[in-house]
Amino acid sequence: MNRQSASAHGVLLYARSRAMPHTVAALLAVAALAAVCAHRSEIYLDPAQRVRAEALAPVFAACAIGVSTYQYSPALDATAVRPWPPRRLAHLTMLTVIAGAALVLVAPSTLPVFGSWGLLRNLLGAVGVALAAATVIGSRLCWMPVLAYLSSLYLTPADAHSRAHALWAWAVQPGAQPISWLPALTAFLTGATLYVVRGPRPESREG
Amino acid sequence: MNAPSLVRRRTVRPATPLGRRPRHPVFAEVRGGSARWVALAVCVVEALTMAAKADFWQGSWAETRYQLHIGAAMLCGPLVAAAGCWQGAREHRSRMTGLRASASRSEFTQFLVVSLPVALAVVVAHTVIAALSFLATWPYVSGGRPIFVPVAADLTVLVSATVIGAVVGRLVPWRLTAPALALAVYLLLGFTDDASPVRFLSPAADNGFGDQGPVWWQPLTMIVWTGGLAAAVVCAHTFRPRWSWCAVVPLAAAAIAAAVPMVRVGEGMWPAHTRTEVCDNTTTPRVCVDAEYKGLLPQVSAALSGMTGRLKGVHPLPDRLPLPPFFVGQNVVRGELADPERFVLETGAALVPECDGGPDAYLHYAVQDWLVSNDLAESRRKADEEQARDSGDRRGLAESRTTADALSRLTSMGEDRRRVWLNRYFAAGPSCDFSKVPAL
Repeated sequence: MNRQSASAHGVLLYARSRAMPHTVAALLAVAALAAVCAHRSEIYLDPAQRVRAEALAPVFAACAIGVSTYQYSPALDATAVRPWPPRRLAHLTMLTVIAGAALVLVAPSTLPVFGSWGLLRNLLGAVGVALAAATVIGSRLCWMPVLAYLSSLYLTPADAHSRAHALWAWAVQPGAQPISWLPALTAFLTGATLYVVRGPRPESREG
Repeated sequence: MNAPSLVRRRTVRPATPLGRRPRHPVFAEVRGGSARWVALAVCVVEALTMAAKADFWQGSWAETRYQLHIGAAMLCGPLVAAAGCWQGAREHRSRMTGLRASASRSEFTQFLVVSLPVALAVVVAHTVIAALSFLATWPYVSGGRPIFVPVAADLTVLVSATVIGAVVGRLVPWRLTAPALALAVYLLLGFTDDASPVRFLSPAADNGFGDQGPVWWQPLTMIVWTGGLAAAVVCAHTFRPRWSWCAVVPLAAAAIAAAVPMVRVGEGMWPAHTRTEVCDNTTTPRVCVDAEYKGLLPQVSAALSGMTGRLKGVHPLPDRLPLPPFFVGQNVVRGELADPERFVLETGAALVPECDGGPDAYLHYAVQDWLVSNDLAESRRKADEEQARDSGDRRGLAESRTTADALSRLTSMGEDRRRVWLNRYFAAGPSCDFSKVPAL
C-alpha cells in the first residue's frame, strides 16, 4: 500500500513536472476550436481554398506535445534511479492518443479534403517532427520546425495525380490515400524513437 | 625637485580605442541572438514554397508579385509573429524581467533593442527572396513591368507581425504562446469567402487573379493600416502608464487612412487592366496575343500555322482566332507554350460553331479534328471510340464512327470543293442551321 501510493506520487510528480494538465487542456481546447472551425465552413488556409482551418489543429496539438517534453531541471533528471525511456514512451503515447481521439471525435469525416483520417495522419506526422526537433534543438523551440514545415506543405500546389507529389506533399492529400501515410508514419516513428532513446536536448535556462 | 603632480594622470586605457566609435547594440544582437535563425527559417520556408510553385510564376511579373504576396502573408505572417513572440519572451525565459525593469533605459528603447533585430532579419530575408524571385522571372518574361510597392507593403506587414508578436510574448509568459499566436494569426488571415467588406483589411487580401495588380494606393494604405496598428500596440505597451494614450494617434491614422478607403472600395482595388494586343497580321484570321505575352507570338503563330493554312480562302470567320486565355503554370510555362498540340486543339474547339448536340454534332467534331489535324486530336478520337465500345454506349460508338467517316471524306475532298464546303459550313454557323450545308 505504501509502495503503491509512492508510485502514484511519482506519476503525479512526473505529470506536474512536465506541465501535463496544461498540455491536456491545450489539446482539448484545440479540438474544441477545430470543431467550431469544422462547423463554420468559410475559413481556408490557402488561396486555392482546399485546406480548411481545422487542418491547423494537428499542427498546434503537435506543438503542445513537443513543448510538454521540456525538462525543467535536466541535471536533476539525470540523477534519477528509474529508467527514463518507458516514461517518455508512456508520456508521448498518452498525449498522442488524447489528441488523436479528440480530433477524430470532433471532426466530421466527410470533409472534401481532410476527413478524420487526414487529421489523424497529419497529427502523427507533426508529432514526429516535433519530437525529433525536441531531441535536436530543444523542447522550448520545437514548435518552430513543426509550424514552418506543415504550413509550407499546406501552401503547396494541388496535384493529386503524381505519386511523388503524394509522397512529399503528404499533408495535403485526402486522408484515404495509403501512400501519404508512409511519410507521416516514418516521421512519427523516427521522432518517437529519437525522443524515447535520447530524450529532449538538455536546455540551459539562459536563452 | 620632483613633487608629485596634483593632476591625476589617466593610467587606464579607454575601453574603446580612440577614433573608433563603439558598435551599435544591434550588431551584437545580430551576431549572437536568434535573429540569424529567424532569417534563415524565413528564407528556407519561402524559397521552398516559391520553388515548388516555380511553374506558376516564372515568366510573369504579375504572377511573381502574387505568389510572393501569398507566401509573405499566409506563410511568413504567422511564422514571424511566432518568432517575434519567442524573442519578446526571452527575458521571461532567462528570468531577467526584474533586472530589465530596473535598467535605466526607457521601456521603449529596451523594447526596440529586443524586437528590432528580428524585424530586420525578417525584412532582409523577404527582400532577398523577392529579389531572387524577380531575377528568376526576368529571363522568361516578354512584356509588362514589375511593381515593387506591394513588396514594400508585404515587408511592412511582416515587420508589424513581428513587433506585435514581441509585445504578446512579453505580456503572456506561457510556453505555448508563440504557436498559439501563430494559430491565431492563421485564423485571422484565413481566406474567407464571406461577403463582408472587412476581409479587404486582411494583409493576405487579393482578388485571387495574379494578372490583375492592385491600384497604386492599395499597398500604401496597407502600409499605413498595418504599420499604424503595430505602432499603436507598441506605444500602448512601452509608454505605460502615463503616455499610453499616445497610441491613439497611430491607431487613428490606421483607422482613417486605411480602413475607410479599403473597406469602401473593396473589389475595386484590383481593377481589370486594359489589355493591349499584339497581332500577327500575315494570316487570316489574325493571331493576337496579350501584349504581356508578346514573346509567345512567334510560337503561337507557328503552332497554329497548320490551322491558318487550312483556313485559307474561308471567309465567314471572326477577325481573329479565338485563342484560349494564357494561364501561367497551365498552358504557359516559363515563356513557352506548355503543350502546343493541346493549345491548337482548344483553339479549334473554340472556332467551330457552338451548337448543342443534334444530328449535326458529328460535323463539328469532324471539322474540328480536320482543322487541328495533330496526334492529340487523333488519340483523343480513338480514346472516345474505345471508351464508347467498352461501356457499350451504342449511340456514342455510332457517332464516333460517323465522325471518322466524315473526317476521311473531308480529308479526301478536292481542295476547291472543300473550300466551298467550308465557306457554307461556317456561314451557317451563327444560326446553327446546317440543313443547307451539303452532307459529308
